[in-house]
Amino acid sequence: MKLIYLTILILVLFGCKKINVEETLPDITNISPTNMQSNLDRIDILADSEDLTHMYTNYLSDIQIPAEIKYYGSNGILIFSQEAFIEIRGAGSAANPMKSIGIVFSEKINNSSYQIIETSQALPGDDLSQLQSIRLRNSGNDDGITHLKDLALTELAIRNSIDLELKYGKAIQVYLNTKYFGLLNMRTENDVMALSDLLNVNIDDITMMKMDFPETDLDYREGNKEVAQSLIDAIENEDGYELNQLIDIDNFIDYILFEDYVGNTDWPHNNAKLYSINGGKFRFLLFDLDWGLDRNRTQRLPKMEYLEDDISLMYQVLREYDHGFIEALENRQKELYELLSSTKFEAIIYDLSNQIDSEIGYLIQRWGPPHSTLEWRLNLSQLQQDFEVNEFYSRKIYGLF
Amino acid sequence: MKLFKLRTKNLEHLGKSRLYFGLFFLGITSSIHSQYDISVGINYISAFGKRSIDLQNTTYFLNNTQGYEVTLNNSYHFTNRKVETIFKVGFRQLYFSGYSTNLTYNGQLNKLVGAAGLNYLVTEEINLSSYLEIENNLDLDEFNAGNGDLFRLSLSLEGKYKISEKLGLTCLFSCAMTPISEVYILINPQYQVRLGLTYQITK
Repeated sequence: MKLIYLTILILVLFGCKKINVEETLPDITNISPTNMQSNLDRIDILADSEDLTHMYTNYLSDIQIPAEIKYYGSNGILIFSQEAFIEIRGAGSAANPMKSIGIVFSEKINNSSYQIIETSQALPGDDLSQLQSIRLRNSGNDDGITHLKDLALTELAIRNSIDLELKYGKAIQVYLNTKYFGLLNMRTENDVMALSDLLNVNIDDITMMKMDFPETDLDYREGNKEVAQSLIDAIENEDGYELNQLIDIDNFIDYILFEDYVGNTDWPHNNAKLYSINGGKFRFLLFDLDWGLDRNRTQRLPKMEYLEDDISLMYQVLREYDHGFIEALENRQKELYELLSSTKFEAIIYDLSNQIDSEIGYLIQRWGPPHSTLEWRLNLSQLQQDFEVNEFYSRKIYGLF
Repeated sequence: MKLFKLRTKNLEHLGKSRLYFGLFFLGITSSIHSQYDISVGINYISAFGKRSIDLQNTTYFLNNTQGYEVTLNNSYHFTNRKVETIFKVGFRQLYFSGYSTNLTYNGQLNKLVGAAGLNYLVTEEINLSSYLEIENNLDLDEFNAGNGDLFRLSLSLEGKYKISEKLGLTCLFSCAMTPISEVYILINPQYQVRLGLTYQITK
C-alpha cells in the first residue's frame, strides 16, 4: 500500500506544470469606491468592525449583523444607501478566504430605477423590478479559477430562454468598511423572499422544498406542509400519476436536461430546490453551477437511472410510468442541442470576461489565486475547452451530432 | 428509448475495449520466436509551433521551448525479421517562456510519457522507427476518468545510428495530434525535435 501511495505522490509531483509571471497589478492600498479605476458598480458594506470580524471568523454559525449598504455606480457616484442585515453564505466555499456575503435590505430596492440587476434580461414570468435579498458570491468552487463559471452557465440558460427559475447577476467590486474586499458576483437569491419578488407573489403563498447533500431526500422548508408532503408521498410510493399532477413536467424536463448539458457534478444529489405557488405544480430552481463541466465526459442522465436521490427517483418513476415523458424528453433534448452550442458559450465567456478583464487585477492583488492574469486567461480557455469536450461527449452518447 | 439503453451501451463499449486490449497484449507477448533488448535514452528537446497565441483577447508571444527526456526502452526483435516492436516509458521536462504587452512568463512542464511503435532495421547501423506517443495532457492532480483531454497523443518518426555495439545516436520528429487547443499548446507546443543518445543495457 505504501508503494501505491509513493507512486501516486511521484506521479502528482512529476506530472504537473509551474508558471511564473511578472506583471504590474493595480495598487489596492489607497482605493475607495469613489476613486477606483473600474468599469463596474461597487458596493461598500459598512458594519461594526468587531461584529464583522466575529461573523467572518464564525462563518458557519449563521450570524447576521446589521450593516449599511452603499451602492455606487461605475462612475463612483453613490446611487443609494440602505440599512440591511448581512450574513456569510455558502457551504464548502464559505471556508474560502474571500467569502460570499448575503444581504437582506430593510426595504425592497426599487430596481426599476436603480438597475443594479438589469431588468431587461428577465425571462418571461420573472420580474426584477424589486429586490430585497441578494448575494455577493465568491463564485463558489470556481473561486480562484475563472470567477465567472456559474454566471456564464446561468447566462447560457437566460440567453436561450430555458424554462427555469434562476439567479440573475453580474460582477461587482466590493468594499468592507471602505477597504477593498474583492471582485464578486452580485446574484439574486432563490429563497422565498427573493422568489416572492421575482414571481410577484406573497411569501406565504410559496411552498419551498430543498435537498442538501448528504441527505438525498427533498425536505420541506417553508410554506404549506401538506403540499410538500403530497410530493414526498408520491416519490416514496413511486406514484407516477400523482407525480405527473404535482410537478410541472415541461419545467422538470428543461431542468434535468440543462443540468445534464452543463455537466453539473454537484447535482442531483445536492443543490436541488423546488417551489409551488398556492399548491400549484412544483417548479425547479437552477443554481450553483460552479461544479459544471467538472467531469466533462460524464453525463448525468444515464447515472440518474440508478441514483437514489429524490430528483433521480422522480426521473425514474416518470420514465417508468409515462412513455409520453420519454418522448417529450427526447424531443426537447433534440431542441436544446440545436439551440445550445459551444459557440454560444464562447460568446458569453467573451462578454463576461471582457466585463472583468480590467478588474481581475484587483482580485489577484487582494487574494490570488488566480495568481496572474495569464493564469486567469488559461483558466477561461480551459473552461471553454471543457465545455467543448463536454458537449462532444454528450452529443456522442445521445446520438445528437 | 435510446436513453434506457445507455448503461448497456457503455458496458458494451467497455467490453470491446477490453477485448481489443487483450488481443493487443496477447499479440505483443506471444512473440515466441523473439528476443528483447532493454536500453535507456536521453534526449534534448526543442519544441516549436505557433509563435503567437491569442487567449481571451490577449496575444502571447512564445519564446523557445526546450527541455530533456529520459526513457527506458524495450524492443522485441523477431527472428529473421527486419522489424522490431518498441515500447518506451519515461519522464520529460520542458522549460517555456513568453510575453504579452503587459507581462512576461516562464515555467516548467513535467510529463510522464509512453510510446509504442515499430523499428525497421535498414542496415546494421541505421534504424528507422515510427511511434504513437502518449503523455499526460492535464496535470496528474487533475486526473479523473470522467474527464476528456487526459492524454496527448502524438505521432513521431525517429532515425537511429549505432555508434557502437551499445551506443546509438537518435533524431526524432514528433507531431501532437490531439488535443491541440491553444490552452494546451501555449506551454506545450505542437511539434518537437529530439536529439539524443541510447545506451543498450541488455541484449
